[in-house]
Amino acid sequence: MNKIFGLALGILAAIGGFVDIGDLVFNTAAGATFGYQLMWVIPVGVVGIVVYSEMCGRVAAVSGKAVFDAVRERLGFKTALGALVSSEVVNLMTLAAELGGVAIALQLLSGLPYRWLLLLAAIGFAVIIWVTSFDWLERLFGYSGLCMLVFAVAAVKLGPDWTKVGKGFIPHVSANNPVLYAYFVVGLLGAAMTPYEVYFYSSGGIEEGWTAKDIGLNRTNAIVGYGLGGTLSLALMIVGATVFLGPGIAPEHLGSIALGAGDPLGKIGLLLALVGILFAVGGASIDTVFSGAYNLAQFCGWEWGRYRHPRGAPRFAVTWLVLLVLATGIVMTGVDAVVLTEYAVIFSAVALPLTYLPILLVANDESYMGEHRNGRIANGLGIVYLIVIMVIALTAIPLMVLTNVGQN
Amino acid sequence: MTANTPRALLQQGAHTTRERLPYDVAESLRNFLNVGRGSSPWLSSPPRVAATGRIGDTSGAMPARIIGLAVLAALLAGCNGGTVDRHALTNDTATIQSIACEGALLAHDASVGKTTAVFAREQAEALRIQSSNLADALAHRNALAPIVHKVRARSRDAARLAATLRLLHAHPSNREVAASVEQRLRKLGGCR
Repeated sequence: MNKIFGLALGILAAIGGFVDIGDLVFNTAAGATFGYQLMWVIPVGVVGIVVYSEMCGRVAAVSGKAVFDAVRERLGFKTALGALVSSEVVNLMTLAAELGGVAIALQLLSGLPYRWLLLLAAIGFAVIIWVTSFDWLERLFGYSGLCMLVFAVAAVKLGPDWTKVGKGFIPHVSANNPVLYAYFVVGLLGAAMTPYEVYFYSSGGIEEGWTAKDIGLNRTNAIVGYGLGGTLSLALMIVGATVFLGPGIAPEHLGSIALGAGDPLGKIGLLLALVGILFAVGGASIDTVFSGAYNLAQFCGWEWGRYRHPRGAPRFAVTWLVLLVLATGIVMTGVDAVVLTEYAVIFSAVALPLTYLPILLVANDESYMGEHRNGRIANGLGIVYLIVIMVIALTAIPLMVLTNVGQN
Repeated sequence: MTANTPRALLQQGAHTTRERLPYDVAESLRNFLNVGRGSSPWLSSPPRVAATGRIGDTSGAMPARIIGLAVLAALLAGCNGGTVDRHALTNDTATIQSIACEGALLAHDASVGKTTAVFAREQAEALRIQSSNLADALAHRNALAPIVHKVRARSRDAARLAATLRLLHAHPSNREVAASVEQRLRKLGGCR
């Protein structure tokens, strides 16, 4: 039982990080626009995030260093400050989008006014984070988010053409609108490897007190957690392709995604989808609010960690509270959560190298890692994905402009 | 391993990073802000930087430039309020069809009891607002002379769409109304 509970961090990182509002939007829209043609991107993204999460989890377990420690020490003050500012801006945008997503899911479940639900969600998060331990936060949002599995059931129930689904795993370039296709490739990879996932994952490992003995648990967490997230992403793309492509629907609302599960499975499917989205997006809110506080605290050398009482790490506690208030204020202006998500994903893609390069460097540093430094496979995959990340970072903004944020 | 190795220091440091910071953050920040400002008595101390192994320290302004460019690009990408040309009209027509077909799917589910009344009401309202905003934009935005009448016609389509979705919003649990709305939306969107 302890081993199952031990996997909660990976599942929360997967449900709240891998399947956040950005993935919900991009995967479903990709299916609705290109059918199964972009299926191959998901395993590519999953392997990338598994490689780097395993690496930063191992660094956390062996050296006690979280990702932003590595960023700060390896990039020097000025570049680390730039990385901090960019990551905090993207984190705040993502947090605002996730909070908006929580309020929308609550509205679709209850019918109450959006802004009241937004306030309720923000206050609810503050109370839950304040009174609940890190372990129980993981369990509550990670395991409740498993309701998202309803999309896997819906994908099977819809009876897609499995031969076409299989062909979608073969990488290729679409002849039909290659620029928009490239935008989706970048968006899907950016959403899969968004930096806050590794910030949260590595700091979470330290919160849980991982040591070198937990390297196996870390590897299992990364593979099982993100593998599960990848499966859900595939299911979302199949649902998007099967339900929305034929009638020419471009799903632009969070409710449209739930409709994709409700259509084949009825009321129960719809309700499970809404609850799954609520907890997945809620889990992502927890991930992002903590990531923002972890990054600032680690950069400034403050006491940090949810394992401490807020009085033991007051500046850390104030930071996540302030982030929560700022994000609530942003969404209160009426900005569209889904549009905000798309911008957040593309901006985070630009910041990817600043996060992943220091992880690779530290994971290779013998003085920190000793016998647990990267092996050939980890290094080979790490370098390949670093190149992929550089390409994503360089092309994200031009593609966003060329496609008018995916509107073509 | 001696007690002064980075690894040993980190393990001693538990969850705080205070004792292992490679520089003083406040002082580094002051030095950073002092770049290019000439000397100042309280900002003139020599810069202290990360101890070892760092890369790209001279490129501190890069992320700021990247952020600036990203924001500018986002603003450019978000600009969509100019004159309606044929390409924009094609996109707006596709959006109207998309909303109509999604509304038809929602109405179908409502007519056969596959959805909850709350979901049907709220989702219909979200689609109604989207189509109503589109109708308003197409009615008022400038358009190229040869396509003005088409743009205004699409505006009327979007307004009809909004009115039909309002029916579903008002009667989300009435299956007969939902079936009627489905038929109208299918026709309006030309849904397959």
